[in-house]
Amino acid sequence: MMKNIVRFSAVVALSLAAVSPAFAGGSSVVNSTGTATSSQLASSGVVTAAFSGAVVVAPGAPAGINFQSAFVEFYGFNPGEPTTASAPDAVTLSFAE
Amino acid sequence: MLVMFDCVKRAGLAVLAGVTVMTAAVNTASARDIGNVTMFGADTAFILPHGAMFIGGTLSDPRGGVAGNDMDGDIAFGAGFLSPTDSIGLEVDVNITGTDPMFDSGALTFKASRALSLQPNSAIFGSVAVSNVAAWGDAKLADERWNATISGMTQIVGPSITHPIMWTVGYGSDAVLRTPGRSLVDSGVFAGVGIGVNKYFGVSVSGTENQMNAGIGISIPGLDGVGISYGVNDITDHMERRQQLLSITFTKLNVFKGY
Repeated sequence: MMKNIVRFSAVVALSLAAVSPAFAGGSSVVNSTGTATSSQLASSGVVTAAFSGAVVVAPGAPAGINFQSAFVEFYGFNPGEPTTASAPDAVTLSFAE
Repeated sequence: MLVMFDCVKRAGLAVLAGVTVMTAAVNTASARDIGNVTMFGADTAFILPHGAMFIGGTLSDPRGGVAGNDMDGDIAFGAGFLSPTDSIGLEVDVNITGTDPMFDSGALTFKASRALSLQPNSAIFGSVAVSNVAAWGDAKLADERWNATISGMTQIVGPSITHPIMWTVGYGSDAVLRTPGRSLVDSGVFAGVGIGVNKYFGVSVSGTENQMNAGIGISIPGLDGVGISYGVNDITDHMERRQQLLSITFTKLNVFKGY
């Protein structure tokens, strides 16, 4: 019952927000996709940051991004320890020139 | 400059000295530009790494996608904890949805993510997120929202640049507008795909069961960590909720370390 009351209140509030700019409620509250604005923003930043420094890879390897390398390094995987993700037998190590 | 090599997993540090000798050759052979991939209008399963923080602001016009409304502004910031490649990563965000007066409305978002598959030229992550948690102000009038998302990266190798492709598919509460011209929402599916066109520019399209969104992402040379996105929700106005959004984010890695 309480859940229904809360939901009804939310519906009323969102409807008011839709017709009255004076009734507060930001675009994250009345979000036309329903997904979290902050999460979208962070995801965009994550991907940009993850690949801003990702330069490829081994001599003779096909040109392209090594996603396994980029993500494992981005998330701080210790090359001396086996990853619990489904990594292949080879891992990529980084060195400062 | 950061240079990377493939080494056999258990080769150990003894290999390192020999590998560094090869650095110059690799520099000339394999450095390539990477496209600036983006995703607008749909959540993804990628999260901030441990120690990273972001802050972002969004201007939306009109408020709530309702024609005739004024512009609206939101602020969000967050931090990442733990690693989705080693265990499960967690991101905590704060949404400030009320900015007049500042901070009079808002809520928290929690997202847990896990790397499901890491291959040399593809990566797939899965996440579960719950938002509008511990809401205050007007945000408190809405229930918590949740979504479960699977996202991946792959690529197209062009003649001079590698174009990363990001895709996402998810199911969430409150993800789909119920009827045109109303702001009532139901649970449902959302999805999107984005591609990095060049080093500083990417495009994406996303949608739900009854609306389409499209946007671009821009990075600025010399401004590491800064991202700008512009897009339009419900771009065909099918649900009468067409809305322009302009966002600026700043992401900083290694703000804090240690658990």
